Amino acid sequence: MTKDKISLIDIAKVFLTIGAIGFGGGMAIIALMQEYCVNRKKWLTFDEFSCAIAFGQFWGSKTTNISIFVGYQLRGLKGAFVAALSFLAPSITIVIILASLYMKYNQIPSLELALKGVRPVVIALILSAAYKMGKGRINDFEKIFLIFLAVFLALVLKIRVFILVLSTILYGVIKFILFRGKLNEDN
Amino acid sequence: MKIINLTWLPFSIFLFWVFFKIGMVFFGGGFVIIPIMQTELVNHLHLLTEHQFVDGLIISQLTPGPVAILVTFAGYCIAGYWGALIATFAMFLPGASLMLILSKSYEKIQNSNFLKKIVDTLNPVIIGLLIATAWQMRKITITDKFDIIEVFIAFFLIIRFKTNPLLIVIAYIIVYMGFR
Repeated sequence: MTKDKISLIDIAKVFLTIGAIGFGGGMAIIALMQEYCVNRKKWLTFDEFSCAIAFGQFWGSKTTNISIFVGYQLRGLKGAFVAALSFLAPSITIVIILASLYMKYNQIPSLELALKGVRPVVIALILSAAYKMGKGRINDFEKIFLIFLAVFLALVLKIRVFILVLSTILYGVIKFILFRGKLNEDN
Repeated sequence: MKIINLTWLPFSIFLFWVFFKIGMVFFGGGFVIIPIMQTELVNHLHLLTEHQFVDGLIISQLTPGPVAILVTFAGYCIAGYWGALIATFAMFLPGASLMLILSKSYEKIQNSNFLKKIVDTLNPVIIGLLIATAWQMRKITITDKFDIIEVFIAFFLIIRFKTNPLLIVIAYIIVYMGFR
């Protein structure tokens, strides 16, 4: 596919827009990116975009990773920087403004009351994230066991998350190496 | 909490290192960052109070962009503007670097089975960590019976109707400011 050189300003415009209107995190933003980059601008094919999602969810912020991928495919290293920076710029600016207001005014009674009223949403948010991650994927005993094990290790033994995550990855790598032969036969 | 002066160079390096480590274990995207930051910044290093962390989560929901933008809030609370920028840069650095490499050579790595398997293995552990975090936060978020009802309503709206959390936050603020 021959791609005309897409201007960096064009990339910046699109990702600034996505960064500014992408409320709700995760999947909501990915849908928005797909709408802009695949459907409207036709910068990437659907397959390429799926690739971006598959690689992007591995390490770091999924949505930021996808913007890096898209930017890179369009204009190389420069494109990747422009895309990621313009995607993050609106949220960084807004968070810093809100954080400075928060640090200044969180002692004001009415704002304190409002925050107190909203805090339970955080629990719902975290639990619904856990629910969504598990839905349809927690389908055998090993996975249920791992959930309980993680809760136990984190809450009772107070093991640090670093150790938990890294040892799980090690476990995953070992499992992958041991069962690779079996996987190849399947293919 | 007073804002620490960042002209003190060793502190910036310390801050960079703290958030870089967080970025190093940020596997699987999005909400994973919550248990990681909670245990490191609140429980272990005491750089943030529990209240600041929970309020930071609310603020990151009021903001467009990735959930991980929570690090910008944390950085700001710890050390002002510079803290926010250092924290954000350090946390995004590991994942973004790998993504650059993958973007360059993704056609050669047709078989992304390995990454998928690792994410699959991590999935239940992350669910467990999220449940543990919610449990740790219960004391400061749920103070009366009304709060429990709020949790159930919000959970139901998010799961059943896919309501944007932003709308729930705004609705709760209006209800609280107006009726209580």
